[in-house]
Amino acid sequence: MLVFLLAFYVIPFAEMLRVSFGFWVNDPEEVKATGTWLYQYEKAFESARTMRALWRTFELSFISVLITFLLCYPVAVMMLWLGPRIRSAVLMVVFISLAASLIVRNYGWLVVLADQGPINNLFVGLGIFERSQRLVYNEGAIIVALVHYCMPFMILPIYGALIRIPPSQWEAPRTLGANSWTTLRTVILPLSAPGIFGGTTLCFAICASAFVTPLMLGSPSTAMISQVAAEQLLVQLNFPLGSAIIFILTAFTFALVFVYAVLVRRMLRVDV
Amino acid sequence: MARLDLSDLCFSVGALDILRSVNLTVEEGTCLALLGPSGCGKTTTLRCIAGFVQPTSGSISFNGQPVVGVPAHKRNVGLVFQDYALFPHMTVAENVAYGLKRRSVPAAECKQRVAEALELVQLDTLADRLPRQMSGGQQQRVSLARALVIRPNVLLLDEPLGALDRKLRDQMQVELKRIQRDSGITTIIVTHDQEEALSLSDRVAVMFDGQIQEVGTPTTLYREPGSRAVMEFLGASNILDGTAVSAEQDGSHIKIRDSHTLKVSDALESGRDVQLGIRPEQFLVETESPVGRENSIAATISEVVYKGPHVELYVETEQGLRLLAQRRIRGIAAQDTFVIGQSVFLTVEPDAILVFGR
Repeated sequence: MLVFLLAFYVIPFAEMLRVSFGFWVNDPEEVKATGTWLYQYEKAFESARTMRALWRTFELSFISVLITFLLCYPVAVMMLWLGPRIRSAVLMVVFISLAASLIVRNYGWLVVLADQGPINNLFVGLGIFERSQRLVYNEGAIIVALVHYCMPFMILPIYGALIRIPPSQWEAPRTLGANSWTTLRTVILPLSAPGIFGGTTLCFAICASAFVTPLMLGSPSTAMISQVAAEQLLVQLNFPLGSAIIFILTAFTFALVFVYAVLVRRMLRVDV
Repeated sequence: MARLDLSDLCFSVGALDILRSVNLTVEEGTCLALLGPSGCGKTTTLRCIAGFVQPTSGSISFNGQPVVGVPAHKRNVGLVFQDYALFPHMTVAENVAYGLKRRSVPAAECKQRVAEALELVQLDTLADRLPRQMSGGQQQRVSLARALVIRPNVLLLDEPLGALDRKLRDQMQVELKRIQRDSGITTIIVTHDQEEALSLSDRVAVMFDGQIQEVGTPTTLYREPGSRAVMEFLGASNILDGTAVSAEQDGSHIKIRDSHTLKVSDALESGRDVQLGIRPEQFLVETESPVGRENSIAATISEVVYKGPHVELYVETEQGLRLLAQRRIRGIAAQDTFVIGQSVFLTVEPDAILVFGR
């Protein structure tokens, strides 16, 4: 395990970090002569496009994770109440979406959300839209696809945490006068915090590093940070800058997760 | 505080009858132990009272007010769970205050009542601890305080001492009794442990197979159980099959296994088949043959079990009748040491023999 981590994770990562502190062949000569080892990072922070993409990445990720959580928590709770057979069926449905490749799935969303697609036809038919609307190539479409992709990664950790809560923790609040909603809010939600933390962190990481989804369902004006980095890495072949952008994303993500963990710990007195 | 009535309470899952007509009354302020083997329906009865199980038919009422159909959170029932079910993310004080918060009790009053409840269970100094920082006995007392602070109609305790070790259990027994008496709340203790039932409650209800078999004070139930099943369940006992052979003025003679004849104080017509119940401690164990006394059985010791305050003797007569006798140990004298193979004589008073119909 340790060898595996070292070979496939730490070494490439360290190599990228080293590259990001260097210069690109096409960087101006005077920069190469006088610039500091943080030059690529300075360049990234000075680029309005990169910063907008970074902000958009966190914004879209946050919204997607929030929506995913709101959709998935009730599903996980309901799975507790189901019989074993129906529960397996629900899990199957949850996982079946993972069986298809990301490109196929996103293509599916392109079809569903197309100008003459089923959603448009339905909404026009119901009179909600006057005429068909452009539903793809915007942030909304990206969020929809990200939420769809994230659901299994949210449901499973939460379900795992919920199933470990003893039944008496559902009943004790009831004997003390709490209705179902209060029980959920005051006891079950805090006790499932480790699962919520796991699910939301996982999904946030997935969303923040999303590349194919914003590429297929968004437009250049909704570029997320991975796309900006990919442009440098794959198109410009500017490895130092591309690496630096990736590192900025990683650093911010880690910082956010850390703050999040501390907050959850403090507020709910649960270890996450 | 309330009087609790269960009448004709039935509960079935599919074709399986878990409760078949449970009838029970618990007077205001008293403590009743619901005792029975596992699977007899005692926990289901408790869950019916708490509102987690809807009975198939029958009624439950607090002070005459029917509560079937009232959701659990509106019944005002205090329940101490077997695993205590303390909220791990709340301090002791927050746990106890939980029920008061749901009732929107003003902050000042809430604080005072929490303090009182913690004082009652003698945990007032540990109010800011988290449950995981406390011992099992302390957690149980928090759970008790949490259930009592809402001033419940009925307090239900599910196997309250089951998870505690022996020493703590004896301590908590005394403690529980004091708390129940001081709070004066109508209490039901569900347990499979007969010692717990006898020592904690004012009255004991023995439950078998979804029905209340017998209700009585601990003394009555132990000394004069109404049926063989209750006698066997409550403590150790010897049950002997016999037939009445002759009736006298002050009792009758019962013949057991063609070998022994025991005199009992009940008047029985001769020829009737009966079962005799004798508590092991009712036997007088002697090493010399008691001359001229009734109800004396000669036997050989087949096993000796040392129990501390008393010793249990498993004996067998020449005719193959096996009996269990108990002898209290007084002093450290050698005469109190019994060995396997030793001959002894067991004597029992006629009025210490219980007679059950067959």
